[in-house]
Amino acid sequence: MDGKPGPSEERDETGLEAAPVASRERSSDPARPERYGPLDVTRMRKEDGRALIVYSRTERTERTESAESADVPREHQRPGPA
Amino acid sequence: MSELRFNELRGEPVAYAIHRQDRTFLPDRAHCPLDPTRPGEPPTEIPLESFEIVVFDNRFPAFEAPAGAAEVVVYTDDHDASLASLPIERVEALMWVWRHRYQELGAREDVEYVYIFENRGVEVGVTLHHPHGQIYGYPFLPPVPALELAADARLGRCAPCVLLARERADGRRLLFENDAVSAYVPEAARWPYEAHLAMRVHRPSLTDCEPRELRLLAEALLALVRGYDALFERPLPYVMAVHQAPTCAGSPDGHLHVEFYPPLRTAEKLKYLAGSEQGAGTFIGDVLPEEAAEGLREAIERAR
Repeated sequence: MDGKPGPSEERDETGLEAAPVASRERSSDPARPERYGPLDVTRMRKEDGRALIVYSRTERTERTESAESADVPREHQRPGPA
Repeated sequence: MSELRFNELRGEPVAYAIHRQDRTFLPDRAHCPLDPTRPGEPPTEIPLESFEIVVFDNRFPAFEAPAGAAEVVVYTDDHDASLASLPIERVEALMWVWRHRYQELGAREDVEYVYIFENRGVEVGVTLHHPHGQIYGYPFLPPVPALELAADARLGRCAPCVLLARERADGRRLLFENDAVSAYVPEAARWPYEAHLAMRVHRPSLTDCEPRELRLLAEALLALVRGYDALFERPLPYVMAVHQAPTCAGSPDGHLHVEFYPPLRTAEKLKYLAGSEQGAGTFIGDVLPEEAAEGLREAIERAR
C-alpha cells in the first residue's frame, strides 16, 4: 500500500480550494467548519468516539448539544443504524 | 472487529461481522436512530435538531480501522423522504459529500476501495427506512471492481467507455442523456430493470469531475430514481452501486458509473437469485433489456 497520494497530492482537478484531506486529524472544534466545494463541513465526535460529519450549504444547521454527545449516558442513546 | 477469510472455491474474500446480528432492525417510526434529535427526547445517532446531510461511523461496522471503514450517509432529516423526493440542490450536495468521503477514505492506507451504495427497500435488506446510503472502505479490492478491471484488460481499453459507445451507437437501450451523463439498460443486464449511469467523458472518480458534471450527475440520478418509482407506481426497491477507481497504490484506472439493481420483475414479483444464479453463476432473465428500456423511458418521461 505504499505510494498512496499524500494529503498534498490529492487528485483534484477542479481547481477548487484544497480539500480537507490535508487535515486528517479531525477538528475537535465544531464551531469552525471547513469548506469543501459548496459545502460547510463540521466534524464532531460521538460519545463512543465515532466520527460524525455534518455537511451543509448554509450556516443554518442548529446543534442541540455542544461539540460532542459526551453528556448523554449511553443507555439513553437509541440503538444504531445498519 | 470483522474476520476476513478466503473462499478458495470461489476465489473471493468473505467477511464475518457477527456483531451485526444485533443491529437495529426496522424500528418503529418513533425510534428511528437516523432522525434528528428532538428537544427533551433521547438523542438519536445525530445530536442535531435539524441537518442537511450527515455522515458518521457505522455503529455496527462490517469494516473498521485499521482494516477499512463503514460509514452511514443520511441524506436528509426528513424521515419520510427518499432520494427521489429530494430537491436537486440536495442531491447535488450529496455528490460533493460522496466526493469528499471518496477522497478522505481513499487517502487512508487501510482502504483499497471506496464503495458508495444505497440499499432501498426491505426487499434488498434495508433495516432502517430513513433515507440513507452507506460507504464501505474495503481493505482489499473486492471481486466486482476487480472484474471490471479485468474487463478493461479483455477489451484493451476502459470497458465502461467501450460499452457506453456501443450503447450510444445501438440506441435501443438508451434511457436519456444530459451534457455529461448517459443512462442505459446494459445489453446483458442481470436484473430485470437494471440501469447504469455513466460519465460520458472518462472520469475515474468523483474527484476528477468538474462541478458542472457533479450537478449533471445529480440531475441524472434524480431522473432515474423518479422514473423507477413511476415504473410500477410504487417505491421501487433497488441497490445503487457507485463504481469508481480503486484507491490502492499504483491503482489501475476506473470509470465513474452508477449501477442500479432493482429486484422486481413486475409490480409485485421479485426476481430471486435461485439455483442457476447462485449455484452456476448464470442469471436467467425474465425481461429483455430492450423491453425494460422501453418501459423505463416511458416511466422517466411520466415522472419528469
